[in-house]
Amino acid sequence: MAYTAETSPTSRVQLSFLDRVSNVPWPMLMLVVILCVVGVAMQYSAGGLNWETYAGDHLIRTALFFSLALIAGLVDIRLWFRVSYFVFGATLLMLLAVPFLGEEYNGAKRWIDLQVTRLQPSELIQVGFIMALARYLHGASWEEMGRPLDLIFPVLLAVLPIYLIMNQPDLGTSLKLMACLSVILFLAGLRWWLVLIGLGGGIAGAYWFIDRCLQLGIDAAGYQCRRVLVLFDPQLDLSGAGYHIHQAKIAIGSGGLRGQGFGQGQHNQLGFTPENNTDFVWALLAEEFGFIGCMVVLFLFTLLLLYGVVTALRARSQFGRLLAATLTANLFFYVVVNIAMNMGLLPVVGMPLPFLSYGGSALLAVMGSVALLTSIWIHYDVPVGSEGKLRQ
Amino acid sequence: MTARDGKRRDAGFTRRLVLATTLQGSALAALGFRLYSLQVPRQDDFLADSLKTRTVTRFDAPTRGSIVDRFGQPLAGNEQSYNLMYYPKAEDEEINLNRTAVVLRAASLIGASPALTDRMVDQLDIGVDVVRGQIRLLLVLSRDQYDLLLDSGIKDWPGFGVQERLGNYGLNYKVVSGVAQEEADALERIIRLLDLNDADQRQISRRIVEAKQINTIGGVVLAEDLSWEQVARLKARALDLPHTEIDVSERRSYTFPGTAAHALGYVSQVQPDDLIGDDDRLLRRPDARIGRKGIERTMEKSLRGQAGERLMEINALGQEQRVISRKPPVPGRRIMTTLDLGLQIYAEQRLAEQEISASERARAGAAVVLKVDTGEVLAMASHPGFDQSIFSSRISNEDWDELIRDERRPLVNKCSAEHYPPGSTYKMVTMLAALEVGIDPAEAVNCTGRTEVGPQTFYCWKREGHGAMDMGEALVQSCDSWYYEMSQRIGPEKMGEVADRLGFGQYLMIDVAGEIRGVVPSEAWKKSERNEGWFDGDTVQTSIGQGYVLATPLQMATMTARIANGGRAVRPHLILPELPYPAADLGFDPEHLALVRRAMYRVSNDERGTAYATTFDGESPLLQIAGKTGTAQVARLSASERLRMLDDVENLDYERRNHGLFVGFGPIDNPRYACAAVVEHGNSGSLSAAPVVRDLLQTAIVTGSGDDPDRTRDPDALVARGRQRRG
Repeated sequence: MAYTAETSPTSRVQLSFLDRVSNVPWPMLMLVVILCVVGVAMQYSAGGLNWETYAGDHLIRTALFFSLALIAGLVDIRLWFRVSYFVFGATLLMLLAVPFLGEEYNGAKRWIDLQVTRLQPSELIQVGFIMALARYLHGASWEEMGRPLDLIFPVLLAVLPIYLIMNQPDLGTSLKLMACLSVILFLAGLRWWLVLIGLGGGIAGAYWFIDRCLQLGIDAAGYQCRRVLVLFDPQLDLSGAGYHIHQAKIAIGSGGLRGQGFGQGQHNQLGFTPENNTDFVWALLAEEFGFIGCMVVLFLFTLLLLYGVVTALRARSQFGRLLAATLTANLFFYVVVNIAMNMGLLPVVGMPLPFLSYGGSALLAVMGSVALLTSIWIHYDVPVGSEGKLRQ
Repeated sequence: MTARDGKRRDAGFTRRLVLATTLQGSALAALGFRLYSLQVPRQDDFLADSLKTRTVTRFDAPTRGSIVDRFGQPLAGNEQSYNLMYYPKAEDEEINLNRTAVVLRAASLIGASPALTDRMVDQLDIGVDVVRGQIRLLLVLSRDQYDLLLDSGIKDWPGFGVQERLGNYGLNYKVVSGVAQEEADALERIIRLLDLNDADQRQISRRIVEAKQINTIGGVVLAEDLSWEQVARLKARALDLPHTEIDVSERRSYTFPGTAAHALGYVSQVQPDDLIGDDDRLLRRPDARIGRKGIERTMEKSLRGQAGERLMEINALGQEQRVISRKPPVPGRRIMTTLDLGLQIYAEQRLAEQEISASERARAGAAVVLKVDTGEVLAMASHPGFDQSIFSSRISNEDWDELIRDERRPLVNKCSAEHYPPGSTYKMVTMLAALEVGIDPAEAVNCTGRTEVGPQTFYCWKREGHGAMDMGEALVQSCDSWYYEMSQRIGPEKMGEVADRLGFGQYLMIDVAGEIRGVVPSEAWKKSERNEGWFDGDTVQTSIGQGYVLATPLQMATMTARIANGGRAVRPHLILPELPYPAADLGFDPEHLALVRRAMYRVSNDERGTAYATTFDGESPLLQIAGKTGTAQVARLSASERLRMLDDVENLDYERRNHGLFVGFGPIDNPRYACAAVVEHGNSGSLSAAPVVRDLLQTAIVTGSGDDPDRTRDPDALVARGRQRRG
């Protein structure tokens, strides 16, 4: 009963440190820890059973970010509420810097070099972006959600990062931001006719794109189109756009029920599955741990996502639940897009698998989400700012 | 915000979140199903795919079979050679690579000369085209033709294309598989558009066939036979030399370079023609060699061996990880020749040392030693020889030109691939024919130095005449008059028949190709070859081995062996058989043969014999030999030239001097060896060829060459015995 949160006699206004610690959602954090352990193990295997290639870095990074997430999770949700626009602004600045300071890798400019480490702002901004949207929509009443003019601000807020990311080019991430925008608007009470128009537009767009690709054929198609076409038949471009899917499918299929065993996945160990420590770590997991291992990991992710949903349902503030639900949706997109592209169900895009893929920025974003979820869980009933006062 | 508004918002949020969560759950479930369908029912298919992806079948070249002499002494073997290879990648992967810069860097690292550097650059461009099945400049085009083809849409025709480079225009070709019909149509169109003549059409078709045949496996050989130091320098800079590798391959080496070069033959690079009818993939290796001439060529298939296969596991970069299974290559067969290395070396030296005048040594010649009972070739020397190992590497143009231009024809095997007028060595044929037509050996002909046959006058070599000559004496003193006279009674058919039985005018060698046939003239032969009728004068000339008669030294040695072995049809061979080849009886009367042998004995051991001066060697029956001299006239000499031939040969043009020939056998009472020698322009058989034959026969007799009655096929035993024999 969010609207009553400010006045409800049961709501707590201030939580002591002890209160917070005792309210930490330990089972959710346990899920994260297990997934992190799986991640470190996969990095160890991907690096040729060696700590020095990836696993050592990954372990340190995971441990560090998890600790930070734990601390951040204890921070009062109201602080996060206040800094939402600031976080968004900071990450947007980083994103703006990419075209000028960025480093190119595999034909895309996504990274900026901070000397000590490289950052991928397009990952970080996802958290800032969702925070800013939640912050804004926190103030939108049901009635206001029905007024298109009131929706201009959140859409404008989304346009710049989506445009910048699409230009990197990183179609996958920009589509994901659009999806998050849609989800948060939907949950905030977007009217159904707009939802249907949005859905219809999305479906029509996808249909139009695929149809155009099919008509162009593999030789004339641009690389985005080729990635779509090889979904239907990897043989079309086996050494190019179809290579990743083809090799990943072979690796996954070779896993069978039980897998080839830890470090024994020959297709991965010999380097045939590309990027098998980052975007294609799922293929490595599948070859070495088989159907059973994959289902366990998928189940862990499902539990984590459910925790996110429960957090959202439990939270009483509009900010808290929108933030929790959309961060969860974002995690869901990470997981589903990554696994689906590994298995040849979606085109290959740059999309890491949370906790398992190597790479700091995405991990930081994911751990940030965990921190926010934790904070929302702990402070589920504290009153956050004034709600439904968009135009006061 | 009103409470009602808040309630709607809460209810809406919950409903919508539940809806979204349901959708998410379905997506996750779908992933689970997909996972199941990929992993569980089809694991075996994917495992097979995986195995296929990460394995590659490489084939291993076998070691070329060695060639040894009859005692197992090595004649030809192999040595390791480090080659710098270039393995071109697919065209689009190589776009940013400056190939020439790579090869120039490599050339400077190995310290290549400017000439070699140029060759490496050429080799690379041509080689890469070959590997890719491309031909640049299949045809040079004019600007108009270029435009015409371009306008006609050549870009869409499979295989063909046009290029423009620095104002030159050309038609290109690239092998494309699976479009034979389209390609043929395109070629047809090009021929019609450009209105090409037959010669151009043939040229184009031939080059297309070549391109299809010779797309070698793998790479291009940039440099061969690198030294350790060169290899080390290249390895140290490997990162700067993309696509290059150092491969170890085996290179043919000859234990005694130059020895038995003609019998052994040599190996050299594979040419497109070699692939016709022989599509062994071993020949498509970039460093492949194929046997040319002699045993190397004839026994090519046996010597080559069979490729082995290795199923290798590779990583994604194509680097070898481990061998999964291996079918080892079958090494080429070891070929044991009939040659006696010691006698062979001696024969070559002895031939080269033979004086042909007071100040000159033999420039060219041939000598063959056969075992009379089997026909095994113990020595086959052709002078001058050549170093066959230069062909194993890439022979330089200078070396090749030198060999080709040498007027002594070093590449020709003068024992079997060159023929000479046999001259008086042919008189045994005439004598046997005379005996077979029933001429009495005692019947004498009075030699006055000249014989009239019809309108022509023929002179005996001894212008003052020999006086009364019977059959035996005529051979001993080589009296031409007796043969002129008797030839009319014998007739050309009989002489031809005996010559045929003794091995003239036919290919003799059982196992090694590369012979020529020589000529035994007959009426039919003259009709077909010269389109002339047969005259009595031809019969006269034939009876003393002049005129149209031509024979290889190998045929002369075979004739001698057949006379010496009692008339059995042995045929020469160079490869030691498991069992001696059967030798049928030639149907000569043993007494006739005995008469011929007796006369041949007197040639060398009777004071009147033509070779007495140069071959008589005391009374020891072991060292005595029997033989027959021959002097083959090369040019029609003037009277003064004839005189100079006798007294002042050094002042006679080398080219106009007679060839010296001698055939012989020994030991005299139990002949085991037959030998024939020709010393080109050696003036006289007695002076130039006879001493060679004497020394070779005596050496064979003394060393017991080929004398291995209990010879086994155990190579080690033979090697041991060979060493022992040579002390």
